[in-house]
Amino acid sequence: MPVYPRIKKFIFPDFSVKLLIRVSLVGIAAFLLFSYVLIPFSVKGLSMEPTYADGSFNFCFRPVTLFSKPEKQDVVVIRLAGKKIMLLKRVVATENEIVEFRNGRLFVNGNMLLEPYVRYSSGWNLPPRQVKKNHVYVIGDNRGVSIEKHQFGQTPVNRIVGTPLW
Amino acid sequence: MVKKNAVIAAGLSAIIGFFVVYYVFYNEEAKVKRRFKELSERISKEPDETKLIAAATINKITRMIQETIQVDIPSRSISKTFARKELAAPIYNVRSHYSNMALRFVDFGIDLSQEGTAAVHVTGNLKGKLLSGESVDETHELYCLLKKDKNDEWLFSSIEIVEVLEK
Repeated sequence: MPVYPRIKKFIFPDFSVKLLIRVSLVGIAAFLLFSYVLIPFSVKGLSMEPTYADGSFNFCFRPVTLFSKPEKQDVVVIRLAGKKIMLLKRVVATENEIVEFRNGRLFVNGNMLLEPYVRYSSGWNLPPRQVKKNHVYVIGDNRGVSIEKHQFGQTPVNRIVGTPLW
Repeated sequence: MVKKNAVIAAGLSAIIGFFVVYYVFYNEEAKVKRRFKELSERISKEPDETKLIAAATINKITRMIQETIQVDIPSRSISKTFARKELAAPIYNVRSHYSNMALRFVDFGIDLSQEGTAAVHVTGNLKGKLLSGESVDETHELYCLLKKDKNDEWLFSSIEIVEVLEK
């Protein structure tokens, strides 16, 4: 068969029950994949700059939460009321650890944490507080705003939905 | 025979269509979501809003609320019951700080198991600009209770900003 008719047949196949079944199966598989395994998202806001730029695209990989608990320096996706809008933050401390900020520097259990991912910093001060059981402490990488404006803190582990794919 | 089948098919389609429209637009969950849509439209503000329009808008907002409303904002240590007539001043104060603002609600989780009460978990996103020129973009989880009044309208009886990240 000449090339052009073959391309045309590939792009516009003859309608048949088999084609309908194939398209339906692909559609269902795509729905399940992008609803429950790899949730596509776009970053809105500056709280994770420069690691994740405003407007950048990524996928939230959900199965990671089934096999392991979040660890320090993991970037995680946190659920609010649902999955359409979620928070993207980095874990800096796990349960029972003491977190504090002294003049913009983060201390965990009295030791200053090395944070090569933080480029913008302000002189944040936050008295020591202990992370509760089954909670993690999360913060954005962009610390260039006042402490009141940045949304961060401890959150239950069961609110963590997954991690960015890259 | 063909005409009879066509009439039956048309009749069945009409009945199914009626139930679909009723379910989509008139069930209680849809009414609750429409109430939130109205609230977001009322709270949103354009830069050219006059004081007269602001007053009328605030009046409409207060009419969406029960006689009293419980407001809880744990991060600001606010836990207070307001009477409906007390709300106009604080709503005006908050809106007056903004030159423009837009509020939207997504991710509804609505529980109607209790008769006459809707318990709603929802994510609210507020975007806008303060009069000082500073941009605002805040997202919070809300837990709201709505109750039906004697006119079968859903009115807000409590609003809580859920503290997802506890500093």
